Amino acid sequence: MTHPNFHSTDPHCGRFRPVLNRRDWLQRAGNGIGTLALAQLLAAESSRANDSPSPNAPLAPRTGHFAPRAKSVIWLFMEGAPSSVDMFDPKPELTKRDGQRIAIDVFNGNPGPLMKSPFSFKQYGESGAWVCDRYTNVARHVDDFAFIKSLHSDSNDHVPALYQINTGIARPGFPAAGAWVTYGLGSENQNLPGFVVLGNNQGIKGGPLNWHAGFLPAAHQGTLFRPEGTPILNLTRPADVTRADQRKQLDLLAQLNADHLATHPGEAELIGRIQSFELAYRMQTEATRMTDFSDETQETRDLYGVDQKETRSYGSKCLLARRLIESGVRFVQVYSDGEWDAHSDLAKNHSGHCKATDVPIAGLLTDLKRRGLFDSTLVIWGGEFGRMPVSQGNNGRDHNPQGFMAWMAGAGIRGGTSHGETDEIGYKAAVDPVTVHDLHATMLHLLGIDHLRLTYRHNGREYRLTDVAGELLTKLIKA
Amino acid sequence: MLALAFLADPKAGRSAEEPIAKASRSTDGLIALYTFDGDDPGRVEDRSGFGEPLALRIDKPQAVLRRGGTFRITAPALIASDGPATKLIDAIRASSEVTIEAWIEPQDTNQSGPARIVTLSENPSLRNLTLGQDKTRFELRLRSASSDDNGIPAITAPEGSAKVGLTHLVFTHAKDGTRRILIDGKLVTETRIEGTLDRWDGDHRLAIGNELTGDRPWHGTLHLVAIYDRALSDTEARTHHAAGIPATDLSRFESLLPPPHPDPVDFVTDIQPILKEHCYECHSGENEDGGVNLGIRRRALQGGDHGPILVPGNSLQSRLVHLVAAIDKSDVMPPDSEGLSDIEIAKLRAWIDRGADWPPSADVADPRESLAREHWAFQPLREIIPPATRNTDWLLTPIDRFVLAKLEGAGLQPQGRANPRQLIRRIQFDLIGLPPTPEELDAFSAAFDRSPDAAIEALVDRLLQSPHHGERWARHWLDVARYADSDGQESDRDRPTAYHYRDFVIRALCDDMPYDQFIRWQLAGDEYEPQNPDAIAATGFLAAGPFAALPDRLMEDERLRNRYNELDDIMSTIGSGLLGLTLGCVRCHDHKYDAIPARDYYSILAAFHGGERAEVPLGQTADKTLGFRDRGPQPSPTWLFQRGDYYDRDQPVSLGFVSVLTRGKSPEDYLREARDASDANATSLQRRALAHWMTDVDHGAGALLARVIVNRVWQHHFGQPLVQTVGDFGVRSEPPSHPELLEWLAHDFVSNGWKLKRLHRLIVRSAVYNQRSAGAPPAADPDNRLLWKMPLRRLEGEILRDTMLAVGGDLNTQMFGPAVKPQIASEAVLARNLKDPYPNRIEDNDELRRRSVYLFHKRVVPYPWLQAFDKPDAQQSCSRRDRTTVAPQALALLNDPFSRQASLTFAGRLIGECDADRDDADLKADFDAIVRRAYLLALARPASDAETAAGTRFISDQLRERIGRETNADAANRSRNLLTAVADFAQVVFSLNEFIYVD
Repeated sequence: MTHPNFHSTDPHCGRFRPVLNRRDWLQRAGNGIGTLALAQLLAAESSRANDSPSPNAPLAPRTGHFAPRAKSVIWLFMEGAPSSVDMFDPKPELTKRDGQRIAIDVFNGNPGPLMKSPFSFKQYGESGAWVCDRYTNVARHVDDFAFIKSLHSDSNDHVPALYQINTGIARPGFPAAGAWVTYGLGSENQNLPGFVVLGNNQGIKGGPLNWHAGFLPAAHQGTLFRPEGTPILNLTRPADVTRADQRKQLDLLAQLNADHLATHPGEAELIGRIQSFELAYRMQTEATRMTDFSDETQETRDLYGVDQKETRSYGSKCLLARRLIESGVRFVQVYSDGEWDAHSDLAKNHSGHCKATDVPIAGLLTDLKRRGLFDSTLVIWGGEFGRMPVSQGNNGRDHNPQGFMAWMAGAGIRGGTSHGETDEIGYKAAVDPVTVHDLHATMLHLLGIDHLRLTYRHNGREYRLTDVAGELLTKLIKA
Repeated sequence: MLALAFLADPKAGRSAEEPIAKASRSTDGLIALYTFDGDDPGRVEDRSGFGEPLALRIDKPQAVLRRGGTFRITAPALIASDGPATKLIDAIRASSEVTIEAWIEPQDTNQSGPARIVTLSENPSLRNLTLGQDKTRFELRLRSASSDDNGIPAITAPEGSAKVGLTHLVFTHAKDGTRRILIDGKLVTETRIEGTLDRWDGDHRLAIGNELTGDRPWHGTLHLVAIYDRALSDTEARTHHAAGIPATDLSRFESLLPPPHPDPVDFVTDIQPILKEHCYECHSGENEDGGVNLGIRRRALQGGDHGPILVPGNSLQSRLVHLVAAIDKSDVMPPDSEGLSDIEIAKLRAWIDRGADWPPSADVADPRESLAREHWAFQPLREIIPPATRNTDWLLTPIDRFVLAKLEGAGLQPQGRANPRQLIRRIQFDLIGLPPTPEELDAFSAAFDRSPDAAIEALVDRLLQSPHHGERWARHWLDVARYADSDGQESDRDRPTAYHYRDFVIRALCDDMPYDQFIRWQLAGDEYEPQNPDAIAATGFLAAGPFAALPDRLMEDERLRNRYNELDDIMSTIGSGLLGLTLGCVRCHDHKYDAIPARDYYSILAAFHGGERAEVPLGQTADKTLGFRDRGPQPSPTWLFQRGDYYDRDQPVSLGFVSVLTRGKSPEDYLREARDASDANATSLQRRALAHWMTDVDHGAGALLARVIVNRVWQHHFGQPLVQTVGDFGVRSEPPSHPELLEWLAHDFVSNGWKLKRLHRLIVRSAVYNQRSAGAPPAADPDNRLLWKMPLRRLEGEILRDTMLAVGGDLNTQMFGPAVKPQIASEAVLARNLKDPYPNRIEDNDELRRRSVYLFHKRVVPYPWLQAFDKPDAQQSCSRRDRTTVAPQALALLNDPFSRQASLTFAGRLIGECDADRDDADLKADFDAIVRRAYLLALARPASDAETAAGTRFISDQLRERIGRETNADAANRSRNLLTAVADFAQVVFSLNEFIYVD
C-alpha cells in the first residue's frame, strides 16, 4: 500500500495536495505548535474541493484550502530597493549618531559613516505611523497599512534578491509567487492571463525569471503587459489578415478538428486545444480593451496622475492594475520605473521616485476603496531589499538585505499595525525577524491557500513557494 | 463507528487464565461512562447504562478532534450536560462515596487554573467535584461536610504526576473519608478528610475539558471518563489500568478479522516485509510516530504513547492488528488507507498468536539504508526471461511479450498494426523529427504492401542513418543537460563557443557512441582523451548550467554563495539527469528517503571542486569551446558543509561516490585505476574516477545509469515513460509500470554495448509500438499505462517549427556550427543590463530557417514562439517537458510573424507545384490540387473529397473576399491575393490538431 501524499498517479503534473504527511503534522501538533492549526487543517482537508489544475484549462478558477480573504493581489514593486529609514521607519539613534563610523561589511566595499535621513518625518492617522515628507499622499492611508519592518533576505545583489522576493529562492529558475497563486487558484477571467506584470521602461533586472513559471506548467508564467499600445505579444493579427479572415480560418479549423476528434474518442487534450483557439480569438479583444482608458473619467485619470508628466507612467500602470483585477485577473505586479538604487545622492533619487509613485499609489488605494475592491484585493508595497544605515560615497546608501520593510493593505489586513523592528540604526532585523517565506506564506493564507499544501513535484521532490519554511504573520491578519 | 460494550461479567465465557479476563473493568456502581465513541460530532454519549443517560453537548465541535474512541480537545470549548447531573448527584449524596476515573493524555504541562479535566460545578469557585491539572500535577477538589463550597482543601498528586502522554487516573473517596489518587495503577496520594457528601449542590452540571463558565480550559486527549458511586479498590484500579483504553477491548470483534494464517510464519520472510512496506516510513529509525517503533523488537514490544500495540500470544489483544484491519474506520493504519490485505493480517495474527518470535539479528535500526539496499533500482542488473503469452500471433519482439502479458492479465486486448501512412509519419517524427515527403510515403506504402516487416526494417535503417536522427535525439538530451547559449543570471553573457557541446551530442548520437562512453566523456572527456576535440567538447555538459561571474570586489559571502550554487547545479544535473537521484536535496541534509548522506554529496562534489568552466582549446585545433577543466593535478580541499553552510569547514572529505550504489570497490581503487590508465598531469583525474564508477555495472552505478536512460528512450518513443518519475529512481519514486520489461531492456542494452540505436530499433519494430493509436478507453486502464494502444503524441515546439519549414520546402538543413539567433519582437526583449543584449533587429536570412536545435537559446531572452510550446527554460535539468494547451500557443500560430511567413511560404510552394498562378487557370481544379497536395505534404495522407471541397471553397471565398477589398485588381494583385488566400488555408492546416498530433 502506498501513502497517497507521496505517490501521486502522475507526479509529473504535480498535485494540489498536502505536502506534509500525517507523521509530520502529528509531530508538529505534538510539539504544541499549532493544535489549532491542526484542527483547521483537518477541517480544510475535508472541505477542499476542486483541486487539480487540468492541463487543458490550467487557469480555470479553483477553490483554495479555506475561505479566502483576498481574491486578487496588486504588488507595488519598488525595484532597486527603497530605504526603510528614509521612508517609513525613522531612527532617532541614527540621527543622533550621524557621522559615526561603525564596523560594517557592505556589498560594494568601502563603507562610509552612519548617515541620518535627509528627509523629515511626521506621524499620520490614528495609528500614528511615521512617513517621510516625500510620501504625503500615501501617508493619508497609513491606518490601512500593516507594516513589516523586520524583513531580511539572503543576497546583497539585486538579481538574486529579486529572484528571492519573487520566487522564495535566491537562484534563477523557480516559480514566481504569482505563478504559484494561479497554479493554486486559477484566475477569474479566462480571456486574460491570470498573472500580469506591468514592467518598467528600462526592463527589469534579471528579466522574465522574476515572473517565471519555473517547473510549473508554462501557463502560469506571468505575462508582461505594456501599459500602452498592444499590451501583449502576438495580440495583433498579421498585417494581411483581417478579423473577418481570421474568423473564417477559425471556422474551417473548428470544422476539420471536429472531424478529427470523432476518430479519436477519449482524447480530452484535443478538445482543450480546439477551445484554446477560440479563447485566443477572444483574448485579442479583451486584452486590448484593458489598455484603452477611454471609459475612465477625467477625475479618475487625475486621481492616478495619468495626465501629469512625473506620474504618468506609474499612474497609468496603477490604473491598469485596477482595471485588470476588476476584470478578474488574479495577480498583478506593478514595477516602479527607474531604480530606487540610491548608491549616491539618496535624497535626489528617493525624492524622484516618491514623486513618481506617491500620487498614483494613493490614487489606487482611494479608487479601490470607493469601488469596493479594497476588501477583496491585497496590496503589497516593497522592494527586493533595503539600504544601509551608513553612507556610500557622500550621500548614498549601499544594499542591505539584513533589515528592510514592506507594507500590506486591503483584504484581510489589520490596518494600523506593525510587525517587527530593525535595530536602533536600522541595520539588521532585530525584533520578530521576518523572512521572505513568511511574507509569501501570509500572502497565500490571505488568498485561502495553506502554503504547506500548495506543492508541485519536480525532479523527485515536492516543491513549495515557501521551500521548507514560512510562518504566518498572524498579527497582521484581521480576526 | 464502534459501539463499546463492557462485559457485565468479566469472566463470562472465558477461563480465568486468559489475559482478556484478567483485564476487564468493573461495572458495579458505575453511574456515568464516557468512551467518546458515537457518530454525533456535537455529543458525547453516556454509556453507563445507569439511569437516564447523561449525554454531554459540545458547543464548538470544531475544537475537538475525534478519531474512534479518542477525543482531542484542541481549543477551548464547553462540553457539558444540558441540565443538572441529577442522577450522579443523587447517587453520590446517598452513598457518600465516589470514584472518578479517566484515561487522558495532557497536551502539555503548562496548563493551570487548574485546567478542568472533569468537573461537576457551577463556576470557578462553586463546585461539588473537580478533577484538574495544574502544570505538572493533578488536583482534586471535592465538596464535603468539612470543606468549603470551592472544595478546599484540595488534594493533589505529586509534582511530575501530570505528564504529556497517556495516563490512567483514578480518584476515590470512601465513606470513612479516605481519599486516594492512583496513577497508572499505582497509589500516589492517600489522605483522609472526613465528612459526608450530602452537602452537594443539586443544580451543578457535569462538564469535561473546561469550567462551566468556559474560562478554565484543559487541552489534551480523553479516552475514557467513568464515575462510580463507590470507592474502587486499589485492585480494581490496577485492573482497570491493565485493561487499557477501550480500544483494547476490541477482542469481541474477532468475527471482523481474517483468521490467523494456518501455515508456518517466519518473521524475516513473512512479517518484516509487511512492516517495511507499510509501517517503517513512520515507525522505524528516527521516525517514531506516536512513540511506536516497529523496526526493533524491544521497542515494538514497549508499545507507544497509547500503550501496548503487540501482545505476544494474543493477536486479538494487539492494537496493531485492530489498526491495520481497519476495525475502526476512523482509526486505520497506514493512515488514509483501508488497512492491509486479509492475507497480510492473517500472517500478522498467526505470527503474534504463536508468540511473535523476532530474532534479534532482524532488528532494523536504520530503515533508510535497509530500504535503499533492497530498492529495485539500486540492484545489480538481472537477466529476465520474457514471459509467455496466450496470444502469440501479435508478437514481433521480446518487448511485446512483457506488454502483452500485462494486458492479458488485465483482460485487455492490444490494437492491430496502424496503417502505413500512420506508421511512416510516426516513425519519421520519432527518429528524425521531420515529416515524410509524398514520395517517401508512396515508396513506403508500396514496400509495406509487399512486406510490412521488411518495409519497417528498411525505413528504420534509413532514418537511423540520417543525420537528422542525431539532431532529433540531441534535443532530448539537451533538455537533460540544461544546455543554453548564454550564462543566464544578471548579465546573461552569450556563450559563442558553447555550440561545440551541442555538436558533440549530435555527432555522438549519429555515430551511435556507446552510452557509457557518452557519459564518461561528458564528465571527464579531457581526462580520457585530452587530444580529442569531441572529448573536450563533451565536458561542456558540466559547464552548461546558468552561471554568474561576480567581480572580486564583492562581498565574500556573495561570491561563496554563487560558487556553491554553481557546483550544486552540476550535482543536481548529474543526480537527476544521469542517475535518477535527487542529489540536490542532500546539499543541506542527509537524504530523507534514499539513504544518501550529505557526506556522499560532498565527496562527489570533491571531483569538481578543483575545476572550473573555461574556454578550453579543442585538442590541437585553434578553436576553443566552453568546457570544464581542473585548475591543476592537486585535488582541492573539500568539506562537508552542515546544512549547506559554506563557512563550516570542520569535516574534510575526499573523493567518494553514492555509497549505497557502490559494491566491493573503493573510491581509492577507482582513483588508482584512473591514474594507472592515464598519463595526464594537468588534472586530478577525480572526474575520470567518478565517470568510471558511474558507468561501472559491476561495482558502481552502471545498472542504475542504464535503467534511467532506457526509461528516457522509452518515454520519447511512447510519450510516456515506464517509470513516471523520470528524474527520480530513488526509493520514493513511482514503481515502473512494467518492471521486468525495464530490467530486460536495461540488461539487453548493457550486454550489447550500450548502443542506443539498437534500443531504438528494438522498440520501433515492436508490435506495441506499431499499434493503432485510436480506440475507446477501457475502464480497466483509461490512462493507457498498460499500452493497449499507441499513445497519441504531440510534436514539441521545435519539431512543430521544423515541420512547418519542411512542409513549406524552406527548411535549411545545414548542420552544426554557431547557434542562430531567431528574430524576437523588440517588445518581447524584457531584460536590461545584459552584458550581451539581444539584437534589436535581425535581417531575414537563410540561417533563420535552420532546424530549431541550432537556434540560440538566450536564457534571459528565450524565444517566445518556442517558449509558448513548453520548451524548457534550461535553468535546471528537465526530465519531462510539460505539455500544456493554452491560448498563447494559438496566438503564436495565428498572429506570430513566423507562423504567417511559414504559411505564405507553404502557399507559395503549393501554388507553384500546382501551377495555379496562371491567368487562364481553372481555379476550381487548381484549388482542388492545392488542397490535396497540402494534405499529402502536411499530414502524409490524401485529403477526402469532403475535405477537398471544404478547402477549395475556403480558398475561393478568401480569394474573392481579398480581391473584393482591392481598389485596383491588376495582375500583380491577383497573384498576391491568391498567395494570401492560399496562405490563409495553409495556416489553418498548420493549426490542425492532426498536424501537431501524431497517431
